[in-house]
Amino acid sequence: MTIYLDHNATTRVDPDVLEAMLPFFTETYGNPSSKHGPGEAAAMAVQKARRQVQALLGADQASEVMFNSGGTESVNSAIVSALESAPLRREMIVSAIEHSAVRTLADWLAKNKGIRVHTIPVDKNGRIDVVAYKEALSERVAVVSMMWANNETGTILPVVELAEMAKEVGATFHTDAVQAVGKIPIDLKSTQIDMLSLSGHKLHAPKGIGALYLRKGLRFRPQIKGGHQERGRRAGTENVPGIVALGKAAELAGGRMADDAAYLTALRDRLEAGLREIPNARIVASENDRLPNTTSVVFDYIESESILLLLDKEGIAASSGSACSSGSFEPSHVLQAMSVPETALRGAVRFSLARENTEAEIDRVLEVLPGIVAKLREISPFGEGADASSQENAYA
Amino acid sequence: MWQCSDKVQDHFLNPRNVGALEQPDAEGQAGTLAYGDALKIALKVDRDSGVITDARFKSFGCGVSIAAASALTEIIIGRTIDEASVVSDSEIVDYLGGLPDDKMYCAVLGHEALQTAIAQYRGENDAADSSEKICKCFPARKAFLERIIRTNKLTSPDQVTNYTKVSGGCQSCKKPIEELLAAVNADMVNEGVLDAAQAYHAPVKATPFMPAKFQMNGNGAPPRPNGVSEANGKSIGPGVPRPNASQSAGGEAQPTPQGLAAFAKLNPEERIELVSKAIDELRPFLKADGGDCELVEVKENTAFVRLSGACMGCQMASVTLSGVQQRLIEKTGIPLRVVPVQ
Repeated sequence: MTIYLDHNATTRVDPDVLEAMLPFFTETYGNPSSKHGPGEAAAMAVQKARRQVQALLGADQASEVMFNSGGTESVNSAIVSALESAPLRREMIVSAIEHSAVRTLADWLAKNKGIRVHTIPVDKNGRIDVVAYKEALSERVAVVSMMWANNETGTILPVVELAEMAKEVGATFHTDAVQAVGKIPIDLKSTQIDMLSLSGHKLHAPKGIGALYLRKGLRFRPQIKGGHQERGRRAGTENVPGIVALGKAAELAGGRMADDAAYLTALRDRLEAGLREIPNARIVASENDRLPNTTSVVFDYIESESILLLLDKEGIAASSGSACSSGSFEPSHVLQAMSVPETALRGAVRFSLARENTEAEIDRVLEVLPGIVAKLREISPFGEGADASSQENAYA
Repeated sequence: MWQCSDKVQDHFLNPRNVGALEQPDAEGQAGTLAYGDALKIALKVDRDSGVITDARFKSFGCGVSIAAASALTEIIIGRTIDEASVVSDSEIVDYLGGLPDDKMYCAVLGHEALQTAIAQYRGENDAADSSEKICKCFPARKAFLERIIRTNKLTSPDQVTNYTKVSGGCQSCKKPIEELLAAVNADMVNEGVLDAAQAYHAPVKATPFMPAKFQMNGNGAPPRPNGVSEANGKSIGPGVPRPNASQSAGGEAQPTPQGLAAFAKLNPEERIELVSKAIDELRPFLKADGGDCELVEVKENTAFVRLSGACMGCQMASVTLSGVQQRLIEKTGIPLRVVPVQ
């Protein structure tokens, strides 16, 4: 049995969620826009799901929840809409630790649309530089996009306060809350956050379903043009089974959140206590507020992929950071932003837990990991025992 | 990794010849921490026969990187230095039963480390590669890239990235890499070592669409070449009409060497005057649409302009800018870059 510790990449569909969605493939398969009985039944189910997501987000109204295909679509449509809604404002602000959904889009906007992008740095604990943020804020800023919780390290940004500052200059505030939703309490009606992106498969719903929260009264420019679904904000026939699943997953997450958080914090602390015993290993941003389920550890002088392969050989699935960054040869921009030293920048392992994980699984990780690290250090030309010259010479 | 050949997996899980040698006869290394992979190799060589009697490695890197290093030691032990010096990237790949496309750099790293060790053994002064540095993210110079392209007969930019990691980060060097690859491939075709059909050609630049209102005199004909090419009595425009000028409605304007050389001689004020004259001629067309464009600054051959009125925030602003740039190049014969400022 695999010990799955990569829940920030994706989660297992909860059996209750699967059960809730299945009838919408073969029994209640109507189109929610149809006026007949089967169509209305599907529309009812969509409405129920909307209320379930509304409840998890603490949104004022169900209509503020717009379903779509997931986090990346949400982020793209939110940011582009905000820029289109304020054409005289030609700047945007993001943090240095955003997911590639935001980063790549921001780079593209800078390059192709002439948008000036301010990237706000974080300190080594992942805390945002509020002074730099305030300096970047001006009436030229159309949109601020800051993630609620970081996918690689679990660090939490003070988005509620950051949103208040953004509103002072009239900028739209969007938060990528893909990792936060379902893990920490969110009450949007008491905040000034304008838009929030979430993804179903991070909270035990299937892949391919997500939602964008749009505060009532906010101007929204649809990015997918077509039919009048989702109040004309996102055309295309609704993914009814996915929407039902997301609703159910939201309901379950809301009900379990407090218990899960306590359980996961204890489990993670157990893991981190063991990780700290390994020489030349550091927990990233351990002094910051973090998601209860995430820990990122960096090892000096060895490389993540070989650690992950040897863990995988032992039946343990973890990750080096963002699954969406695999394929790039560059080290993690998040760890670089958090000033992780070069000796450890390539040696990150992220463990992200969920309620299914057990103490026995954590103990198993702590049983095999020190040996893996020692084995790879033995092979490595760097670190203690290696002569200094080999650590400097450049390649080619 | 688990899709790799059994041999790769075996060399990763049970690497051979790990470690250092006491009093090695030669040592070599390649890669760094920043590069994300690094390899150090030590050789014991029989002085009389030149045979490598032992080889050890230390590797920092991914699984395949470790496997490739381990395989390399097996390949070279028992060979003479001369035999080892011709071990190629592809021999390492073949020995391992193939490598995934995006792991080819692991074999390259092994080859490079071995070459430095052999050079040291032979007492050759390992001349540092001082050719042009192309990639910002990864240390790999032009001469090195050219060698990798040639020895492995690479014909796509992705392959160059897979063999060297170059352009695998910020991608800002994507274009220079494409150009280098096209140039090297063209040479290889000329030398008869590469089939012309396989050679890489840099992408052909698309012809930008230009709305009719950008046609200066309304009938699709381009402005006369000498229209604005007088600045302080010095002729800096192209002296003769370009051959295909009459059909270049919306076509790519080509800067001319004469224009560039003449432009370089102008003092800053003269440059500004020249560019602003050209812009002034464009403004009526922008104004007709409720927009406007003003010259802010000219730095070398970059013109900074401010779009205002209806151009601000217009979805088509980038089209407008590229249109302005095209026109300026046509009018001045100089490869001007037009950059918007707020």
